[in-house]
Amino acid sequence: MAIDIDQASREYFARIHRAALVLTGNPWDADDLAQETFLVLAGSRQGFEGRSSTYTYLYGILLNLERRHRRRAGMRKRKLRVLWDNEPRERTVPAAETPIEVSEWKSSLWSVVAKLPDGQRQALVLRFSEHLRYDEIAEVLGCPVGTVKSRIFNGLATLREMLGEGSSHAAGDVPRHAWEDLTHVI
Amino acid sequence: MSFKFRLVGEPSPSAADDPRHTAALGRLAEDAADDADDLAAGLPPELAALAAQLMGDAEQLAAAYPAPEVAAGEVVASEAAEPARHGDRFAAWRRRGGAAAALVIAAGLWALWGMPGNQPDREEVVPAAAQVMEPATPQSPTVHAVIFSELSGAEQEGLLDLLTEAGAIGSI
Repeated sequence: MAIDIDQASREYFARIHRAALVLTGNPWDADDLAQETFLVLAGSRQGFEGRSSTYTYLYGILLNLERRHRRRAGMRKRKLRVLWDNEPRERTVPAAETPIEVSEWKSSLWSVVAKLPDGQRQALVLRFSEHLRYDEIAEVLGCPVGTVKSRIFNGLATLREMLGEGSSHAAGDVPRHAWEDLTHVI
Repeated sequence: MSFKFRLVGEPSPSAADDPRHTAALGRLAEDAADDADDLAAGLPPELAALAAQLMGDAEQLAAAYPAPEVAAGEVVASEAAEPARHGDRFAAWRRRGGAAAALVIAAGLWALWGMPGNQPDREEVVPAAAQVMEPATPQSPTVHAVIFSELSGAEQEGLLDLLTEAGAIGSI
């Protein structure tokens, strides 16, 4: 079953972009991820068997891409941290590849959700940002509906604990690193 | 059912004044509230409050950074660009393959020329029949190809540059 890419992009680009924005925390990465999602769809449209709806298929692609993006960013961040630790403390200029999240995201609960494990984080995004039904989320994540429900419940419970412990979110807009607070120049 | 004719020039009643419109808006608002309630249904109140906040934050983010407009055919156009890129890649590989083949031939010729038995000995007069009987070369072009393929990209480029400078593969 082939997909009409033009139609799919007209219908679902905004939804996919929104999910990408909530996941990444900045519109530039969200643009890239959303476009890459549709490129992957264009490359694999003959492989789409029509067992799921187009948008759940798209969410699946998006989450895979985002996980890969996150892994790469994590690796880069670790390397940068090693470099940072080895450099003199006087340095105040941010590293070129330091991830920058917009202030709206940093002050939102989604910045705390970003610290949750992948399964819980993705389930919460699909449920409370994308308003998917439990069975649709199960289809995207490839797990039973019961698992989705427990991930959402546990995710929210962990979120509550994190907020209760006085995480960075509870303390307001305090950036985790001094060089991350660059949104005022954007 | 009553129907009222309007005179020419008489302003038409706005949709907002229509009681059916107001009722529809009310239904929409109720649906949205129901939707939020449904999404958080079955959750304890404190977790439902968190869920509601998540939904509100997502709405705000989406409103602050809306998705860029996708022009019709944009994805298809970028998809059409893919085969061209594949074509470019194929051409690059063909160029590299040609360069490698030329290098192997040049190296083979060089090896043949460099062997002691193959250099012309001016002092010794070799019978014509002996010149025909060339000794077998211990290093075949295949060996050079294998050695070349084991070099790193930078080394391969360096070697190609050296050979180009030496004029060994000037014809490429």
